[in-house]
Amino acid sequence: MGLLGLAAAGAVAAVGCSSEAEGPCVSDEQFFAQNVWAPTLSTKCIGCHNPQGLAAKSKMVLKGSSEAGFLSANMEIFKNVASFERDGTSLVLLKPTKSIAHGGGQVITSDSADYTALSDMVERFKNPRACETDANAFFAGVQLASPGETLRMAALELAARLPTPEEEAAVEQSGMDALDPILDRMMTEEAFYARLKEIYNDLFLTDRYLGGESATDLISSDHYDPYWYYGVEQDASLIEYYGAQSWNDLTGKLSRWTNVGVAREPLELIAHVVREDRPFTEILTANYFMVNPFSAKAYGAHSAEFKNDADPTEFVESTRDGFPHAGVLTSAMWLNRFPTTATNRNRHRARMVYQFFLGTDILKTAEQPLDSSKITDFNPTMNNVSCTVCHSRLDPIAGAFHSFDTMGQYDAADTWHEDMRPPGFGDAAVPFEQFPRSLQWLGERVSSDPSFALASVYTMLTGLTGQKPMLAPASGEESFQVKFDAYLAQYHLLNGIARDFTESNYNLKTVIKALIRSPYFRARNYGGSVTPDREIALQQLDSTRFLTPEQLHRKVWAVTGYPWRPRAFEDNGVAFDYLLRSDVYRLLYGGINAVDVIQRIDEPNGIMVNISDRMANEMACTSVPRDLRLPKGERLLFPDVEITFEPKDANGFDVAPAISAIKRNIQFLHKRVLGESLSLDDPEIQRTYQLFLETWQEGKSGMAKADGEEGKLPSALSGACQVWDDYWTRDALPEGEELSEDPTYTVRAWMSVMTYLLSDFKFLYQ
Amino acid sequence: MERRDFLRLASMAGLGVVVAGPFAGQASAATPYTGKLFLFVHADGGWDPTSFCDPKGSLGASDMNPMNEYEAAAIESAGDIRYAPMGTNAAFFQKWYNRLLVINGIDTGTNSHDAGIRTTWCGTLTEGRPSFGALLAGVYGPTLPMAYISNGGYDYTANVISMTRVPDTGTLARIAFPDEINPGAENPGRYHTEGTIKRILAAREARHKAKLGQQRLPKLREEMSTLYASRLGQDELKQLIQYLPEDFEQGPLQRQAQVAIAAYRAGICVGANLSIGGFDTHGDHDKTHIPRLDNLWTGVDFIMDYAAEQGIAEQLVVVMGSDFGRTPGYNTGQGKDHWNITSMMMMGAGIPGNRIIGGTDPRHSPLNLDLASMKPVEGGSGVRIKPGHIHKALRKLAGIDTAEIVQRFPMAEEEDIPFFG
Repeated sequence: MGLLGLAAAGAVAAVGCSSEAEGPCVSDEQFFAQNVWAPTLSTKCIGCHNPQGLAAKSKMVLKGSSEAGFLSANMEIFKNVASFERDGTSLVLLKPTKSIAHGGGQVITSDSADYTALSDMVERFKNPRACETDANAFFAGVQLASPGETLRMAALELAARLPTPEEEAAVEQSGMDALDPILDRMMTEEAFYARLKEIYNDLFLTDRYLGGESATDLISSDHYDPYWYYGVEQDASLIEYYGAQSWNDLTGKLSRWTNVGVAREPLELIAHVVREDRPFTEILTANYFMVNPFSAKAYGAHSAEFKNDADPTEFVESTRDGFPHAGVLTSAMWLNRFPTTATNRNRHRARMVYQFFLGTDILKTAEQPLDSSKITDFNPTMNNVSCTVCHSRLDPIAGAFHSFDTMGQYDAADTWHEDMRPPGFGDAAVPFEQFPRSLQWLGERVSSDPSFALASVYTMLTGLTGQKPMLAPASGEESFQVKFDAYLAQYHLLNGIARDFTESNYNLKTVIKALIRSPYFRARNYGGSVTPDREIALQQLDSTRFLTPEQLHRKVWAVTGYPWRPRAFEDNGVAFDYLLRSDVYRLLYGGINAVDVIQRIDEPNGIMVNISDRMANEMACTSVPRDLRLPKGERLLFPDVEITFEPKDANGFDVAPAISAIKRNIQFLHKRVLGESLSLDDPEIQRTYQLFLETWQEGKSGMAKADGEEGKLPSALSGACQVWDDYWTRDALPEGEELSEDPTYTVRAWMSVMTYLLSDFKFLYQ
Repeated sequence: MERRDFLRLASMAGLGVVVAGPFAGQASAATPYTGKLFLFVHADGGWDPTSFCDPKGSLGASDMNPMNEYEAAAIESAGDIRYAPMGTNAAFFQKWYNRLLVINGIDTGTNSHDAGIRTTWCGTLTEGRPSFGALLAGVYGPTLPMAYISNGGYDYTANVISMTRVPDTGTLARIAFPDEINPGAENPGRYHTEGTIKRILAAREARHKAKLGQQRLPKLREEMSTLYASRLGQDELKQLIQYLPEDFEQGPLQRQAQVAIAAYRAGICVGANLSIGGFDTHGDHDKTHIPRLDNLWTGVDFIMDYAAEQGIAEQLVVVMGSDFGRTPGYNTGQGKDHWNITSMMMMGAGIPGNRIIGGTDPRHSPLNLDLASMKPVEGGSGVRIKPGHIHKALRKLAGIDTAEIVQRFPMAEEEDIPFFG
């Protein structure tokens, strides 16, 4: 595991490698994958040599492709068997040719290509090649986003903002070399931690408890004081201290902040570990949990110290007396979100451990047809091969949860079922004396398993790009070799990132930076000829994603300067953000509510495009007039024009300076809204200018018509787009600073441009 | 033309070619759909057929491991259909048996939720296959804005169609009329003039064509085309408003069905996944499972009556299924665990009623089906019914079995079982 490395493109030479005349050096790992696994082991051997196959009791029990890092693991298994010899010949050559007894009979002949490859592999085990796998070769011809484009995408993804001029200048000067320090700084900003929590909530789904007292209700009132706020004695000074408006308002706030503190505990732990640059393994080993000032009271964590004990967003470490904390594993929210029953016996929780922290969907190993009528054994989960394929691995982990009931409450004295495998992980069992702290024992082992690093890479790959790790093609599948090569390229790259992650002492930021630099985030076009095979191979490069509602919300705000809300502001700290509210557009735009809608929709449908069209219209209406009425130095969108800049004069002649300024501003908007750096003579600038010009002409003509005449247009903006107050404070603007009239029709012409740009593919996708 | 082909064509040839070519009709506007409406009712968690359509019962006080709490002698019938004497089964089966087809003894081949849901609704355990609803919508409504509505269950589309979630009715007008400032108001007002809107759309289309022509990465081309194709049905969405009811029902199935039927009447929906949860009753089975079944029957009963009221009863097909079945007998917590044998039920256009196909033995293990007599048989002859058999028949019923898009996802089962006569 972790053997596969990522070499720079073209780097081949290493001690023990073949000469240049023999072609590029192929690493042992790559040779195994391409020449041994793909043509032979995956097609001719694994049918019996799997945990439930006829050869399940042999030394060679191979792992299926649904398991994280299966190629590296299988290479080790194969290597171990290959080390056994009879008369100087390896068992892996003798058995399949039936030169000695083989339960599966003769599978290959000694004059076959399969045999030659196996033989070469055996020789490689004895004399390993020193070169590393060149994962970059697969991506030849792929055009990546420029350093500047990458910076913009990363800034929006990690920091919910556009790059600063200083960041842009640094990248312009030093290219990708300047990127990592900038990313490091972005990953200190609070927006990054909001995004990180969002990514992990897509897995944990614990935000289902954010509403009302859903989380507080899950805390045992026998042990704690979950509703402490109802017992607070009335004191007027508290209203002011907590920024409330009345006693009722205060109680509501304390209730809400307590609930958020309890609900967000596991996600705040993820953020805390990364923020403090701790080893990411701590998410499973932390001997503490996270509280805010209010959940601390609910849990009786009186020793927790806060910089501001009235700030619900401040989370600190704390402990519960006599409680064996093991990071997320012992989080009350996580345990409630993945509950158990008397008969399920924590197996669901064990499955989630595999899925989230070991990168393996354990149920996929059991997706071969199951015939219940053949399950007649006593205690089949222990004794029937159809069941043990999962249960032999699930049940020990399930056992480690034995002290935690369905509500996540801890009982140190709880014992385990005698008719199940003992608590443990892999081949190791939890020592009896450590039974009360089984999950701490488990957390240490899972987090130090090589698959933990790969699972973390998988999670961040999906979070940053929207892509799930590729599945290995099934043997016999159409275009297997092309698909397998594509799979292998990703396998090598992600394993390389996982290796670097481990060597960085599990600093998650190394994973994020590596993924942002990778083709999976940056691929933008292809420069070579696209043959049918290449077309299939390139299918894996899905580097442009349809933005989630949360991402689109942040991008709208970052680009226009205003959030998409009904006429602005927050009311008593509560914002009505269209794309974030599940009762408005969040679910319809493909988002989740972590309750019953837990899968995102990642491609647009008729409803979603209508929502994005409404956004484009409303945000043009909000942002254009407001920006244009500001002094030039304060504008985000219109630094080059004034409302009075019309492209033609009253006689229909071009006004060259105005046209020039309008085109410069269009150029600016293409950069700001779409991230496109275009020259002034680019056809796209001309296309957008034509839209502006024709809209302006229509408007001027319409305003000139007589009252009552068809097509008559008013000189005033629509009421919704008029500006009478400050957006954030709602204070009325001083007389003369309002904007309600548009006698030149340029405001509305610019609104058409903004609607056009805000509904573009490049705005709606990353 | 199916959506995947449409996207591929748009992607390969550039939009201008598509619009000007033989597919101009689909590129510019979708034709209202008037074929059968398929509603797929998913009982989430794994239902227990022995509690309704494949009743077993207990053998009385001497039965140490009863299949059910009710006695076998108490099993009731409606026409040829036997049902368990529990909850509101009687009311449902007595009312609808004449239109109901029950298929018992279906072997899903799994007791994993994900795999079970998948095989029930796409016909195979293999991953990456589109649901039946997605295939239907992909064939009949590739550019309709709500061709395939999903409220849960298995809704993987394999990119043959874009799935839609059910909109809350309060926001629907704002979604359907994105250019209006206050949709529904007497004078809604517009953000732009009609001329400007057309101008924006024309510029958008020209830019799309130009950018698509420059793009060579297949996934990016596909995504650009997906956005473009999704916009083709924007105007049709407006039709939906006029068919929505003034007041929505409270039950989840009822509400989901009301939107789907309204969308169908607007000509923009081909099929919809409806979902109702709570069937994964590992503990205290009867007390928790039977009320869920009651909710299910109430919902389906409403759907059938409502379809008639809306004048679409003759076009409606309702297919009911679940992840799998539940283990024979009760566990120590009086619950029932996962069991790979299950049942499905269907009603509506082209479905023969008062009919049971397939069967199971007293411990709910499957009996094979003799294809000549269409009766269950003991022993090794006959065919074990798999979800793939049912999907083959459903594809024929829906008239999509020969569509290229469907043939790309063949079923492994060779036999054609005439479930529908």
